[in-house]
Amino acid sequence: MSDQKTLTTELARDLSLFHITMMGIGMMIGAGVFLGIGNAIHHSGPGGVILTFALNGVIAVFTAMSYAELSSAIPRAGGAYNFARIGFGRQVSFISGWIEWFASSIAGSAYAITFSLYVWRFIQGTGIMEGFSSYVPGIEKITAVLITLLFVYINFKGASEAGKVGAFFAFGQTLFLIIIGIVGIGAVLNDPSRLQNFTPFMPKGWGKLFVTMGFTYVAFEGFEVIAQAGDETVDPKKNLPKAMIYSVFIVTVTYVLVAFAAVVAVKAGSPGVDGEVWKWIGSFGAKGFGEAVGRIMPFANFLLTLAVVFASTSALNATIFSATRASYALGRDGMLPAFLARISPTSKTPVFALLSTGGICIVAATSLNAINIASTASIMFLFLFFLVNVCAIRIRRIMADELTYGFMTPLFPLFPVTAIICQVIMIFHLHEVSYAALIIGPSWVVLGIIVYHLYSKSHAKTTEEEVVILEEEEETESDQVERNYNVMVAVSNPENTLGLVKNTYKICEAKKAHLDLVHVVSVPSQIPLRDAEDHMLEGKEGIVEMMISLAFHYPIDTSIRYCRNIARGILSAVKKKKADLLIMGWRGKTTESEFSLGSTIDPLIERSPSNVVIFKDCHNQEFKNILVPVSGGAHSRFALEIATILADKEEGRVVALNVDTGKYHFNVEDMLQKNEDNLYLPPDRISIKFVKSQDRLQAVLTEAENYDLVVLGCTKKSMIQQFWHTSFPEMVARKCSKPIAMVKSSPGIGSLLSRWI
Amino acid sequence: MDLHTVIGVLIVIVSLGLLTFLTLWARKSINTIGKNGYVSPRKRYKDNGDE
Repeated sequence: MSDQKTLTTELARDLSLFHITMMGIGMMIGAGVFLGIGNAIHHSGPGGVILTFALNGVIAVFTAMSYAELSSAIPRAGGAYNFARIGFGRQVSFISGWIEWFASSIAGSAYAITFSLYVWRFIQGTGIMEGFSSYVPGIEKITAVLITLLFVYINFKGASEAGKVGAFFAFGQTLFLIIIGIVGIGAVLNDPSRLQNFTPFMPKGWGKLFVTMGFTYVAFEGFEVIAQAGDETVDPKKNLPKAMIYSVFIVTVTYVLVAFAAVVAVKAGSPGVDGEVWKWIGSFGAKGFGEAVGRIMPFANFLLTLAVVFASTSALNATIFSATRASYALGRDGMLPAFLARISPTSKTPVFALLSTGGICIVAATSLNAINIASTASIMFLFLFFLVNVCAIRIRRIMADELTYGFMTPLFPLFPVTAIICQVIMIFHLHEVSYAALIIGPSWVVLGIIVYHLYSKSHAKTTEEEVVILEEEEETESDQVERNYNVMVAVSNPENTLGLVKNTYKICEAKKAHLDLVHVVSVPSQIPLRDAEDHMLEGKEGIVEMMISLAFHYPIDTSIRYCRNIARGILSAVKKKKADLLIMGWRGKTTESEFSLGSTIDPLIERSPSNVVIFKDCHNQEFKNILVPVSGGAHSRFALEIATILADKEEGRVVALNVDTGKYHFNVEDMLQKNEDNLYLPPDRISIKFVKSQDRLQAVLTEAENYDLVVLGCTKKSMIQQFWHTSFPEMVARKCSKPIAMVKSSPGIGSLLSRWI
Repeated sequence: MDLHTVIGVLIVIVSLGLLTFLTLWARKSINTIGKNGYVSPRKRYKDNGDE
């Protein structure tokens, strides 16, 4: 009986520095800049708007450094809620979570309003629905409510917003804003008289600066979400702090450029512009940015609306699930009623937390105007960041001995203290633009204190010492076993596991391999990965069955891997465990038109650094006659190797089929001879068959009828060719009625490069 | 260019400069701190058991 470890669970780390940086940027560029520029110009003038974003960026980076320090020391903590718990205990942690929930919800309503304002501004500008908005009062608020409901629904269904698509959109919207900034600089170089728009620089005095910094601070909230990705980030001790600081830097520079462009975009004296330019832009309030940019570049209105739609909807989606997670965490820990932590059995999302978040968004969007929403969101985040800065000081003082930091704030505690002072001043000055914010914000905090004393204190669950459980367990040198060849079997559907058993046996036996069994479970974004085990119960049954079948014969490690995306979860497992061969099952059809073999299989064939074998309909039968269509490449050689392993030891035969279409010739005998050492059948049981045919596909399909199994290598075609044509192995795999094994040999660097071309 | 403008421009330049400096400093610090993370002198003292 083999030496076997117990079943472990692990979280797939598949977010790189780029992904989490873009996550932070995507969250930050949502509404603050689009709503804030016009209002900031109105309140503090042309110079004031530039100073507003520059100084807010500096204060934000001070807070980002506090977050960075705490996240690097406690990467699994997941944000202010747990930092406060570790630093101060239950009451402050409840207040943090309570504030975080409300702040994100209000920010969501700001994004919904931004979406609505700019979309209707565009529609009205085209004249398509002229006068419509005057016939339907409150159409902008209705639109904001509808878009909120849409994203509540999307979050309910568990659609993921993270990953490469989100990163792509964040990159695109940042690039667009930078382009606006560059166009502004170009306009000034072309016509330096536009710099006169900055005179007077601070027409309403320097005192207004803290006011505008206050209500635009919401433009800098978003980097804290990066802390929640600690469970899923590669090398979190380094990448979390880097991502937070990089995202604030990139966003600040972008905002300053964009604010500059907004001021110089309008030429004094141009049609429709009466008086000073800054007054004209400021008169439009929240829409001022759009009005200004519309004058500086062609198709600006359309492009700007497109950018706002992408930015506001992605930020809305992200804040809804961020707020949902905050209230879910409070419910899970007993700080709020348990129904908030209840997970829908169908969608696996925390439905009541989601509905309550959506409710707050909708109430705010319908009852407050744009500046009050922005100010309320800003004040809540100012409270939250104030708390985090205090936590950073506290935890450094009491726990520095216990923690290992990936980043430590320099000149400590100068920067967090400076941030705290500035945040208090900004909170105080908000009364000049929004009394509503100064009433709602503190009232919510006071309400939270009351709720804590009346409910949370007596219902909160006791937790273990969190510093201990938050440390990642690293595999030590003594745990690692000498491994010559590592096979990984990845399953995401427990029903398919047993079908892979027999063939996996054969391969492991031939290769004297160590076997890793990984069951990959996809977790919706709304549930933190580290809570997945409490909800994803069906993962364990399938893998336990396969473990029992295989465990008596092979050294085997088994694990359940929780991830956001199955393909990425498997890829990260392959890389982490240094697998030489990945085995998977394929059901044989896909519903997604953009994928050849399915959204899981395609990326694995494309990107896995290991060899890959994918079985279709190979349900543990014996294979006496195996057909291997060959074309001369590395995949064909590997296909022959696998075929000789799978063939029945006593009576199995392998036939290498060469279909001669007249276009391409290669020497099959030569290939077999050179590959002799990698073949597991004696030469007399391996034969070659030549078929002349113009239609290679049909020839293979016809021949396959006489065999038990077809083993074929993945395509050698370039990416560009594959884009236009379905590849040959894929066509065979779809049309052949016999069991199929598709194989891919691991690529070298040159092979990867040449494949692109 | 009046005094407000001069001071304002200087503040913007200093702010962006400080931001750039802190970002670069943080990057260097994180990269050099090492894979094992910074251990505070007191923890190292305790771990090594030195008196």
